[in-house]
Amino acid sequence: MADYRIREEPYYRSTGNEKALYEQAYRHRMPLILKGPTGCGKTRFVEHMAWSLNRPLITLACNEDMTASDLIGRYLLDSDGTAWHDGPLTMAVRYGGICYLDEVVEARQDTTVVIHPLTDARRTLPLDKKGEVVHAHPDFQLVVSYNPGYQSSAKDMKPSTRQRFAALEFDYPHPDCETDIVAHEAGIAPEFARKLVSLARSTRELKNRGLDEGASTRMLIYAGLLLRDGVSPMDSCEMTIVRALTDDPDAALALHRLVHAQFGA
Amino acid sequence: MFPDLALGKPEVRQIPLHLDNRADGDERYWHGLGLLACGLALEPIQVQPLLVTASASPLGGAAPIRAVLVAAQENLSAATPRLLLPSLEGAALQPRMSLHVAMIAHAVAHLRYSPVGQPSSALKPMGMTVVSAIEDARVERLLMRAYPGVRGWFGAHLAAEPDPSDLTFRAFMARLDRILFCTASSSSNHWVSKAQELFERTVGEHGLEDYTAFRAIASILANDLGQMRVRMDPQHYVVPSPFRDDNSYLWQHPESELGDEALALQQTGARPPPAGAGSSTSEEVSPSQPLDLVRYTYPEWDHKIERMKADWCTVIEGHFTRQGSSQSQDNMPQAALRMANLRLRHARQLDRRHSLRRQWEGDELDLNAAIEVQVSRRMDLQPDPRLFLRAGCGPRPTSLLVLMDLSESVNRQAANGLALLDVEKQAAMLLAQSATQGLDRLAIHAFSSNTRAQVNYDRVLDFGEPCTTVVADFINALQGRYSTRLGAALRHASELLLSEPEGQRTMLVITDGEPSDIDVHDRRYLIEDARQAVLVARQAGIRICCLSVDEQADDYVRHIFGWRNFSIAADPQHLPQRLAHMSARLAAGR
Ligand SMILES: Nc1ncnc2c1ncn2[C@@H]1O[C@H](COP(=O)(O)OP(=O)(O)OP(=O)(O)O)[C@@H](O)[C@H]1O
Ligand SMILES: [Mg+2]
Repeated sequence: MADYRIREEPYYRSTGNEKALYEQAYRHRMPLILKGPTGCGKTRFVEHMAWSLNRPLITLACNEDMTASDLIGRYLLDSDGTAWHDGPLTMAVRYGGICYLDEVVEARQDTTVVIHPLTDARRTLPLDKKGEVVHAHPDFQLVVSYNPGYQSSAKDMKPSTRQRFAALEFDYPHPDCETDIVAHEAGIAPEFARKLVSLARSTRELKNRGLDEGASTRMLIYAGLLLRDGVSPMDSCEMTIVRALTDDPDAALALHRLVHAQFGA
Repeated sequence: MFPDLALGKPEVRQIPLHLDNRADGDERYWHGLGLLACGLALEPIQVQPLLVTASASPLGGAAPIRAVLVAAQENLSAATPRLLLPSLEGAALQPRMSLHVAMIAHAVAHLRYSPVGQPSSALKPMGMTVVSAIEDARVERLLMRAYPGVRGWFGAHLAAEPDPSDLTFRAFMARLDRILFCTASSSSNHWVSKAQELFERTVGEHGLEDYTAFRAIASILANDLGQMRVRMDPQHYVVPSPFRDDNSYLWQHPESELGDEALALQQTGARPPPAGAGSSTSEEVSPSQPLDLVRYTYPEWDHKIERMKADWCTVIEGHFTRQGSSQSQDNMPQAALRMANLRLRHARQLDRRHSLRRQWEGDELDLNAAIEVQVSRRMDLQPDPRLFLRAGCGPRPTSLLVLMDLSESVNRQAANGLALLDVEKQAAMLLAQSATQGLDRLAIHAFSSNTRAQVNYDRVLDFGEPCTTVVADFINALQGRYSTRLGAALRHASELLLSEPEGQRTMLVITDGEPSDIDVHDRRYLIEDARQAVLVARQAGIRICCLSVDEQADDYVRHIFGWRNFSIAADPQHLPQRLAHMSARLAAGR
């Protein structure tokens, strides 16, 4: 479990009172949903909170092939037969970690129901195959993330799942704040970071017009990393933003021009 | 990577202006320009071709036309600003784009930085023109501060340097444009250098944001021109730099001018009166219709207000498109075409629910195999090392819904005497028969529309229904009538597809023309609505493609269905092959 403790303070630039709110929720071990577009800092935030609360953090990216045993655990083979291995969720439950399920709606609904007894007053996790009921450690907390933007209505959380959580909504940080983040994470000068952020704002304006999503903070950091290494701004953005965001040549051309407006001579 | 971006050198291109009263067809082109405009403006803005007929232009057909920027109105009819650009249809693609791009940047500069609709009554035409030109320069500088790259876009289309002997008003304005743009240059003309000095001093002392300070220097400069006895002919004046708009955005004119007139020519959005209170669906039965009808209501997307209008369309399910199912098969133009193997192939896709046991490697242990390994070991036998599970490629159930356009236009006869309807019937027939051989779930549905109150929807062959002679009769009796309200039909078809078993759900739309209906006059309206319906269906996981027999369809079909999701059969006779090809491709999940 010590492996899951975060030793160094993860860099996190606060964008509001989300830290204080998280601490309040944690005080009651309230399960939390972090909502927000991809790459806006949800994962980083949880890492930071786990560090500041000094709790181990176990993260797990969900996908539609995930089964309940991927969360809970399963029998595996060892030298003299089969032995039970706790899944990541069970570990967090037993030893008092924060369990972070990324993109929880991607998991099938029959998988997500295993968290039901954990996220109400019972705070227990039944391991049916093993015939054990784990009572959650007092420090255990469940946090899930979810991007409401591009999920289909077919893929939504059941109300019975949803209503077990409190929610914090994230968005891309304010431009000044995002500039600091990009400059810090990519190690580039603030004036370049500001241009990237301004470009991102333009692309975010095209959400639902020609793009599914605008450029995320993460993308800007990628562009910044290439910039720092001496790749030209046009090429960096072309590669990490224009081509990455769309396959549609018309949308790509518009994006290309937006990059040119920002960085062109 | 885009060769058409050779901007940067200030050079004036003469682009022949071709004025036309026909709607410009290239949706994609305008859509792309719209994206650029939104991205620069950081707000929604519609970019559309400016439709000007020779007679409607007070300038006559020959004078160059400038862009028109129309502010958003508070009422819902124009919730977003609109930019109308001369379509420059005769121009080659690259100079045309380059000029349009500069026009967009200029208009965005106004949107972001200019106060809109200032009262013009206190100003004479020349004063107003000089104020506008100073304002153009001011907002362009502000925009270049935000987007340094647009400098090259403007520079490429700046007014040419007039001949020194040219002392007309327009020549002075061209010199003004140039001196304020090329800050490092200087002029031997007194008025021009005074303008430069005043402008740069104001920038230094007040900052570019101070509209009134610049308006003050504009008045001085206009006054000077008056003193110099420079004359202006307001009737025929056009701003010298072709990428600048007519500046009607800046002023609130007492009487209507070109802008308004141009606007009047733009088609207005379809705004049929809302259906009866509560838009209840059951009272609107028109007497001519059969009674075994089921009604559904669907919303419709209004691109002008960027919103769904709730319960806007009524889809009526029934067998309208059939003339009565008594007709015999011999009326059907028998296919001279031989469709060899139309059978749909199963999708071979990575299907994780279906796992392959006893693999050499994989994501998971095969528990049964593992136990056998233990047993073998205890018995000192060589264990079978293949003890992994791996996600396998297995057939996924494919549900394919073919949605046919049965509007009036399908009755049109092609050169060979066959109407599209006949070809559609053939194709449907072949497909229906193929479904009985294959295992796929296939449905053939058809639609037509007669206003939003009546979108007829016919489940000719439904999922899981065998292709009996009754179905053949149905197909045979199909009739083309009314119009094409595609969005509503798409929404209904999507609903039906979504109730199919999980797996690959695919819709293939066959149409012969763009969406239209008699209660809609804005050509874009139903196109945008259909596009919206497609987007929503995709989000729900439906694969959706289109097969069109309209040769001109490229633009709008691509706009609606998206890049790579359509095919055009220029000759309707090729429809059955194309259909077979596309359904096979879709069924194979490609
Ligand atoms: N507020 C912030 N402080 C510090 N770094 C940030 C912040 N927001 C974003 N970042 C940076 O952006 C990157 C992407 O953020 P993160 O991985 O947390 O996104 P996410 O919201 O979890 O995305 P996804 O939903 O795709 O998982 C981080 O690696 C970090 O570098
Ligand atoms: Mg202007």
